[in-house]
Amino acid sequence: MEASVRQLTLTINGRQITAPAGETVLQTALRHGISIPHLCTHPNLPPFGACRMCIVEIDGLRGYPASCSTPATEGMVVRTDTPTLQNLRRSVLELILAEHPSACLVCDKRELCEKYRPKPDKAGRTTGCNTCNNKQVCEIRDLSESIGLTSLPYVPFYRHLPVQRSEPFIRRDLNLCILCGRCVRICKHQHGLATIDYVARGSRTYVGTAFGRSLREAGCTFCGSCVDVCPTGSLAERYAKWYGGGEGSSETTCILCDAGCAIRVVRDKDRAVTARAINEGVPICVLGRFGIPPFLGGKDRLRVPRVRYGLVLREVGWETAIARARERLQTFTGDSFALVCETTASLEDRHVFGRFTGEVMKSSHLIEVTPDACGKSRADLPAGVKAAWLMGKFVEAGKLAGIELLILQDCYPGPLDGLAEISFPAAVLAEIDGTVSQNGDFLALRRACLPPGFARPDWSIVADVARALGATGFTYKSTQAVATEAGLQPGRLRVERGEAPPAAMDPRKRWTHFRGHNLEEKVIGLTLL
Amino acid sequence: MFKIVEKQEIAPNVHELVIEARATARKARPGQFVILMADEKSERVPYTLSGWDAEAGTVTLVVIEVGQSTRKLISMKQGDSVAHLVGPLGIPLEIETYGTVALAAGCYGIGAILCIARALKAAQNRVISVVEARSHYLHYYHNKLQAVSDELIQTTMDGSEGIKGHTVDVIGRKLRDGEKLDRVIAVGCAFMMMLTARTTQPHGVKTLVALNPIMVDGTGMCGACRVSVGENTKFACVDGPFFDAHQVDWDELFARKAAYAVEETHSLETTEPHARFRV
Repeated sequence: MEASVRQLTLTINGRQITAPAGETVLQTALRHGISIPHLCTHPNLPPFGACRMCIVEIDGLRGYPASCSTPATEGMVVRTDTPTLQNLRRSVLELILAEHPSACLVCDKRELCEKYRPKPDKAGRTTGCNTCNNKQVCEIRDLSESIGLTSLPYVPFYRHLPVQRSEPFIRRDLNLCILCGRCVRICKHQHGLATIDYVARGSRTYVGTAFGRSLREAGCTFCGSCVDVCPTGSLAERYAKWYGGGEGSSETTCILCDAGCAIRVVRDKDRAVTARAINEGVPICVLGRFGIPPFLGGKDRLRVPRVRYGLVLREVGWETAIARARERLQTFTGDSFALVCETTASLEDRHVFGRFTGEVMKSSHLIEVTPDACGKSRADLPAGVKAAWLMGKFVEAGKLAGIELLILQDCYPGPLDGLAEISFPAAVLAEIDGTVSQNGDFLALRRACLPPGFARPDWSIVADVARALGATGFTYKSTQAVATEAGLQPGRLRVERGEAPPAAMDPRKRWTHFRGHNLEEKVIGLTLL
Repeated sequence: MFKIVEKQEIAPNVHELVIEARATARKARPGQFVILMADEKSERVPYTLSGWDAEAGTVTLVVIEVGQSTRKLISMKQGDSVAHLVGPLGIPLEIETYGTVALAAGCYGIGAILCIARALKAAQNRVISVVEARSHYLHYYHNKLQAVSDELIQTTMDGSEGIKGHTVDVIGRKLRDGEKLDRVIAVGCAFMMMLTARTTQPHGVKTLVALNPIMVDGTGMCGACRVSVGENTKFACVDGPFFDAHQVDWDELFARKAAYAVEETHSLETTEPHARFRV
């Protein structure tokens, strides 16, 4: 297909360069390392040409066309950085900033302030960069630097609009909005919907819903694309907003349903703080975009192994917990033992579970349940089972009659804790490496953050117990070692997702459960959808 | 219970609260503060007194919404009651006749210097109030301060009102121009107070700052608010809040104030009661 695209030759700033037909002047320039300041345009959006930051001079064209919406043509002669253009751009930015709290941009104490306060201070209402959640990743700040803004000639106008804090996941402060329209356009582009649009006229224009309804009432799917493209701090992800760009990230697969979207999970101080689609051109659902950090960061996550002493489960060290498991499991070999997990668990976990159940416990009861359309799993224990090791909340208390030993391994407490002899804290989602099988595809899990407390990957807990029980093997040094033993092919990331997953277009189609836990109980905001 | 008699957002993110607290209002002196808990489970947070009315039995606070606790407080409505209010706390500012006193204030400090300016003026001082904000729409108490100051100078970072710059620029210029300041008192964020200290030190002008470290009980028991002043460790709650600005270990103060930054952010994100904030 590439061969059929006609190549054009044009001149930018005296340099002869080539461009495939159909490319805009801005795209061509950026691709050749010629920077043109730009703002309202976005790689995931069709050209718009609203902000006028990317204006250029083109021989034979009147005025100053916007390079983002002007197609490159054969023989075109373009200048991007003349003194006239620089002045015009500065004026355009000054006008944009007249309605954006930007005093910090022209503050004479800026250098000293950045030294003492590199991160923004928290604030209910942002009135400058120093209290702006967007400070560390702000496109306006970059732009003002590249354009060399030194003063604000117009008296700034603050809109005094109330900060909108009643929506789940997204907090909107329209006092920071510069009306670039990226959010309006991405919503139309990705969903074909006008959930949000420009409201009112002139200096009163703002981005909002029709008739002042809430985002939920207006049909928002909470895919978060509008937050992704917002160049200011106007649209913010509530959970992530004070972390800036985070301290690092990993690319992994979201396993909160079977769509297998490739996501990038960002961490700060080893905790997950936000997750985004790797390919932001196709939206992901509310769970993948907003659900993972709050689920992983829940206050009641299991952090420490616990062992029963009389009426209470007492927090103990790993050695004590493993020793108790060894001591109690010894008496339940054969088919009186069952291990229950979900088929959505990683293949490495399932390999170790399988070996443990078959080779160490000599039982045929490795029960792998497949979640239903909501992600819920229900398992029944076979008759004669006296010892059960459950890797989640899959079995109802009423069905545990006759069980003499119950081991729970999970990320959150559950109703069976009162019956359990041992509780192991497990690392989940973005806390683990591994491979998952989804619809015949092998997808990679890559650890992005640390689990809370002493929680560990599922396979490593089972392997430790196996070794304690005297089994040979089970001496894996890493998840990769398990994968090698199991002969797993390396997982990949499903970055190129042709279509958005169903839940991204309708949040009611999301899975409601993970590992047997109702996500609504763990993630504030889901209940409001 | 302490009833919120009046409450309004006097500038973006700046809230003025008038709270019924008869005993506190009877005893309050300029420069003192109160510790307040919005509800039974709130954190204890110190707020500087902006004013009080012994007759009506009320105290006035200027509160900036920053984290979880201030958010709880400012989301309460007129007529609601805060769970606990204790005060007045801290050593009142010494009010004598010094001559010319410059008051530098920013942020909540603009509210805090109102009662200080009034008292200093009543003691026959020449009071110069210098107040800073990022932009014109963030200034407040203009008329109130004008009434109790001999000179009121407003600065903005963007130059949209008054002098472009900060309070330290104004005070530094006055000192360089040879204007005699007998005392400088700064109330605001730690950064602004530190800059004030650096500016006045070469001129040898006695400078006091109202320090605002993390504080828990406010009565000298816990030691959370300790600050290094010269060779000594002091408690901002019972030895302060006013200290000699030139003796304060500012780097330590910044570090101590940031001690719980991660926890503060975490509490904010996991407990934002967004369902309650209907607009």
